[in-house]
Amino acid sequence: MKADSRTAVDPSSQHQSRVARHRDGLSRQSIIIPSLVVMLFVVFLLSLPISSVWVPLDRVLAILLGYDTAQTSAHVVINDLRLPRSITAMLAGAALGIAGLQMQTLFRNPLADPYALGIASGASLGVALVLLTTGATVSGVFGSNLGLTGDALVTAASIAGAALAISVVLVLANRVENPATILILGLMFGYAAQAFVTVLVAGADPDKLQRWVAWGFGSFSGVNWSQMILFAPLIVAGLAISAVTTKQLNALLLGENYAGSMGLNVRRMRVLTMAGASILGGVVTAFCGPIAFLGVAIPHLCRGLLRTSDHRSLVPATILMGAIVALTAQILSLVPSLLTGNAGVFPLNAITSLIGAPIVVIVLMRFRRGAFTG
Amino acid sequence: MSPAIRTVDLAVGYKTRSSRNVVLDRLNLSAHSGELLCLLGTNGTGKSTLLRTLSRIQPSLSGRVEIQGTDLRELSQMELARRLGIVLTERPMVGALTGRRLVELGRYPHWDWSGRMRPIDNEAVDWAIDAVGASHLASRDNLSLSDGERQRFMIARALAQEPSILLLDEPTAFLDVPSRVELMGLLRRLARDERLAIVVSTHDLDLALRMADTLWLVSPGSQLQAGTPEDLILAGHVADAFQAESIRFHPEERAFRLVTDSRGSAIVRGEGLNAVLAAAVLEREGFEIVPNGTEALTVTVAVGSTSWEIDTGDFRRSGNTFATLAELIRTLAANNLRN
Repeated sequence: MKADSRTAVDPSSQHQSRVARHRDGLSRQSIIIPSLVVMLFVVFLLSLPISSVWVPLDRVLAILLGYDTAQTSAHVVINDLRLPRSITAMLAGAALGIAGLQMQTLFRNPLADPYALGIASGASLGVALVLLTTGATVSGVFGSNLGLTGDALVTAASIAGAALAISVVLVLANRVENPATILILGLMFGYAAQAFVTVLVAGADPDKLQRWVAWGFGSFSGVNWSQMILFAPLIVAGLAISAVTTKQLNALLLGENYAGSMGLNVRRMRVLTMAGASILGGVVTAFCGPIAFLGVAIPHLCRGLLRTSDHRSLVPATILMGAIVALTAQILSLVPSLLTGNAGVFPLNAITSLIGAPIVVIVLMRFRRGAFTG
Repeated sequence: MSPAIRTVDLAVGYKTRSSRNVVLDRLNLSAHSGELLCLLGTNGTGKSTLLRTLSRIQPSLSGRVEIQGTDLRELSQMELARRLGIVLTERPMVGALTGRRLVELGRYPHWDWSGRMRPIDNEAVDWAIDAVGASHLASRDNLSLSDGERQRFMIARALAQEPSILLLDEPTAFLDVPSRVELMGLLRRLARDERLAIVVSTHDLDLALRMADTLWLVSPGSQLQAGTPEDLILAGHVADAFQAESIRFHPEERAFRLVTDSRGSAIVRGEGLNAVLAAAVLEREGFEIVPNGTEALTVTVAVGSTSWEIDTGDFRRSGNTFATLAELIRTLAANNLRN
């Protein structure tokens, strides 16, 4: 046997394999992950001074660190508006990125994300049912009149809608082989959900409609400190599921049959992952509106940077990158207020689409032989 | 010692709500450690179904499968993964994953909850990659590898599970001839050296007959014959399994040949490779090669080291290449040589 004799006479081959063990990915990872942490910190600090009221960075730091306790307007703006807004953006970006990563791996489809698979549509339907038929609103800025109960109601409806969507798609996905078909199924579910939403919108009074439209623009400003009690723990729980299942996600890279043959309880993992993605997608959609493209784009950014499909690196990188990109989008959405000095903003959804769509196009161009290529 | 795999009155196939489609049944098979088994049969005879049932990807219809003496249904997913590794026909395309990382996935059933690579895991991965002779490719992205090279890593991944049994569903499909021969040789060596029981389904009759210790031969009519290749050839089972009107199995050559209208018989005189190749040309053109001295022959071809000479009884010709020989014979055939 040619290959066998080659191995037998080449003493360096085993050495090469050992070298590969160390060289592969790890050095990139050890540079990129800390860089992302630093970047996140920088973007986070930048996100605080910027808005219609400019608060200088040294004041921001003083307020954050508790040196400046004077109850000035700057203090209120930073502590009660911008800090929760930035934290919401970070959590939402991380959540959407992780939900996208989980869906891409579970469905073995590089274009899967909370949107393509109908999660966001299902969540929107849930939100629409509550927003348009009751008096509840999602966000402080829209003037909540049901308080935290209303938030909980909207959130629960949103998660339920997301879970419904992903269950329908997954049940159907078990009957078809082609990943493209699964995406189309998700889109069809999205259209169906959208049809119901349209019916609800048509019957809604103008006041509620206004809230619905504003919610649809997407915003990280809707979570105040009292709502954060609901928002943050749910997101952290969803992220934690992905963080403790990295080896299971890795096993799923080769598909469910191989994953099962290597010892993974595929059914349980599938339910757990879908539950996690539903919570993440549903909660973000409830509080921030439908935020487009972050879910599909962020995992690809990380794969491209780290040049690996290994979830042990991808999960932390996606969390960091999601937070960075969402914060950046948040800052960019404030450009009109910086230029004009009044409170005008770009709709967040427009910004995330402008960031995300080109990334998706690049992924499509590099989509060869049906494979994920970072 | 109980066999690595044993089936007892196993029936495999598909069950829908209304019907039961039995593909193969009454299977009483066994596979032992150190043994390379080839599962042979034409398309659609249930080779994949059997392998999928043995690896619990699909349930059996009746009967049971024992893995090292334990009923397959009683094994946990992890226990099964530590006993049995598989390589399927599906070829997952995962980019941004080096060959080595691909093999590391096979450590799944041995990891603790964190999935961290311990020294023992790294040793097992090194061993698996060495065993398939792919150490020099370990740091390359698996998508940049050839089909044969990637197949080696998929096998190494199964080996990294440290199983006692390997099941491979058509691992040589899509591979070129040298890669096929190398791969079967590799599997044979793994069976011997690592005391694995290896079951390979394949279409490659020639390789299977040469390499397998045992054949599981699926004949039309859902019959499965198990045995040493030579025993199955002698009993005529190999010929039966691939029955078709236009081909005939030649046991001495262990190969099938197209049945053509005979144009007559020929004697080939000469020695060495040139004579063998001249006979091949004549056979392709429909002549039966008969031994020297036979009566009623049609043509005689004398082959030297650089030329051939043909004698049809009517005339003699000679030439230097097999192309001119083949051309002449075709012309003779067209002129109705037999009359």
